[in-house]
Amino acid sequence: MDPLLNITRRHFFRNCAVGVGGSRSRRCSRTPRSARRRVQTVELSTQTRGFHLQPRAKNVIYMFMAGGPSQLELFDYKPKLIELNGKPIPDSMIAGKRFAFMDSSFKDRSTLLGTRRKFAQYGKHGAWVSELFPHHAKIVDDIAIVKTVATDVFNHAPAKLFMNTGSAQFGRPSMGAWVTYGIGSESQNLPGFVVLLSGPRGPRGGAVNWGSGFLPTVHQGVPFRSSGDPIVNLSSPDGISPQHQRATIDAVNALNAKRLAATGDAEIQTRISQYEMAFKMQTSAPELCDLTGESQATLDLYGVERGKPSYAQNCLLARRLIERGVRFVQLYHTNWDSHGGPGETLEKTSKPAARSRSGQRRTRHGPETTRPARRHLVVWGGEFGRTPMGENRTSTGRNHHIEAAPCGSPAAARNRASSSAKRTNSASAPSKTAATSTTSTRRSCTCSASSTRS
Amino acid sequence: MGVGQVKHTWRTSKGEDRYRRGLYTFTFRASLHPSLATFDAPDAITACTRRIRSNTPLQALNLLNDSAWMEFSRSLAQRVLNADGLSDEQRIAMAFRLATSRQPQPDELQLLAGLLKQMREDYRSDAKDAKAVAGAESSEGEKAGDVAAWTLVARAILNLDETITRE
Repeated sequence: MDPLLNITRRHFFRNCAVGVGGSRSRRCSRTPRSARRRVQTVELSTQTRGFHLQPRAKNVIYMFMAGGPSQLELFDYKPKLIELNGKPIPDSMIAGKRFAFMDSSFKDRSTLLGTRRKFAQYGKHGAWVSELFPHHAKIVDDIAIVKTVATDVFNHAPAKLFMNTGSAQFGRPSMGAWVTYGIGSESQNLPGFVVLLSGPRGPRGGAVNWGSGFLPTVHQGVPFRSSGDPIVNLSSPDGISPQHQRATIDAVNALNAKRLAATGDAEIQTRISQYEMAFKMQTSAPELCDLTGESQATLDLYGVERGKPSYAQNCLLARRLIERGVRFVQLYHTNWDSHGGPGETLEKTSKPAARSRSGQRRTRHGPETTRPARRHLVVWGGEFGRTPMGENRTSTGRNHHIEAAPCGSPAAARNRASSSAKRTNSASAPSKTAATSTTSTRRSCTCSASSTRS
Repeated sequence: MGVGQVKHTWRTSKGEDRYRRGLYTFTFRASLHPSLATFDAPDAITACTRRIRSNTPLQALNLLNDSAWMEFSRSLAQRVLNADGLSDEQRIAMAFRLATSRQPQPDELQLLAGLLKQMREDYRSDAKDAKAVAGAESSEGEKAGDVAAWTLVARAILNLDETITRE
């Protein structure tokens, strides 16, 4: 057949313009050798060229608290705000600023709202932590609390996209896609970038939050389900043995390889790798998700109830994933959107988060894994923070606030940062950091509060 | 969370509704059908001007192992087996053309014929597996082995990048 007949218009133009289809498709193949070579290259170049900051982390766990957790109820203690509770917000603080839901925030000129949570200081650095995170009292010296992160966008979906990709419009690669594109993954049996979901619904924006944008799709995040089995269709249909499955995948891949040669479409290379990965996951994923080998003590530490999908279970899964060489694990937990509407209570949302976070860290230091925490970067945060004004719905909560954004807390950075409002480039980098700690102090006099009824 | 944002459970339809095109199925904006979610369909709450590219091992698992896809494969197998007076190669070519709108190249045909031969040997000697693949309504013995082998060939064809991707 005439080879031109097999080439689509899109691929013809792409190949004319760049002519790198072949080399790119080799690049995204997932053979152990190429992955190892890429890791070695990165290590070598850091030694020879020398970064100003020596990279140490090998894996990332990014816990995304979807909805926008209230900094004022968790880490950011503002006594002045408590003093000003019930006073109208000064014009100087809101002049020229935009907030989401202008109506509900300004209909009856909302007033300042001091936190109703109890705060206390913990650890060597005297970090303030609220009663909602009781387990953090014990580990607070090991986390860096960044209070100066700000963002540009105040609606959930674009704000999430901005945190993940650096752009509020979709089409750009997410952080996990960049990381696995840059340095590959050490796991050959599981995807390099895994997304774990929990809570009443998926995060706003959905799949674009972990998309690969213009990078090959082999780098996109692979989402596990939030209910039922984490992965569906893992077992072959009745009557199809592993040998039959293997023979089928061999035939499919061989035919796809012919198609790749004929069209030069790099996406077919991804398809071939993903069928290989699917076959491997039929064995590796049940082993990964099987928690029967975990001790009751570990399950209690995380707050996992056997057979019940939860954020806690995802935290444990995240640990198991990075133990198996997965490069980037992102957890999404809903719903942190504590406006004060029905069911939007911080208590309900923060409880599993509180326990699991401490479990996450403590387990990594426990006897079962002796690897130092610095090999894993743990990031915690949402898409924005909450306003100092109260918002009256069913109960009083807080609105979205872009200037006091997520309390990112990279555990691996603990030697460098204390827990106060240092000017730090958060590891959740696409967002910009605010200028000084004074601004952050002033601005974060917010508070939210959750409804009194749950 | 407001109305329409709660999780909805998907149940397999019964009777003739089961065979209706997905196009006519009611969707729920906060609860995509699991298969759609696997294929990273956009969240129906946010405007979507363009689908993202998406290609994951979970999609491969869905196309290979989902019971609906097994049923599609079985039906395609039955359809080519029911065609009168065709050789194996002609039947493979027919299935291939139905899926991809083109005739297979000789080497492609050969590859699929190889798969058919291997599967036929296996399933003719294993009645239990053959019956599980071919479905309860298929007849016993050699016939079931044949349907099972053809089902696997049809399944391979339905899993081709060319079948599931529209350029």
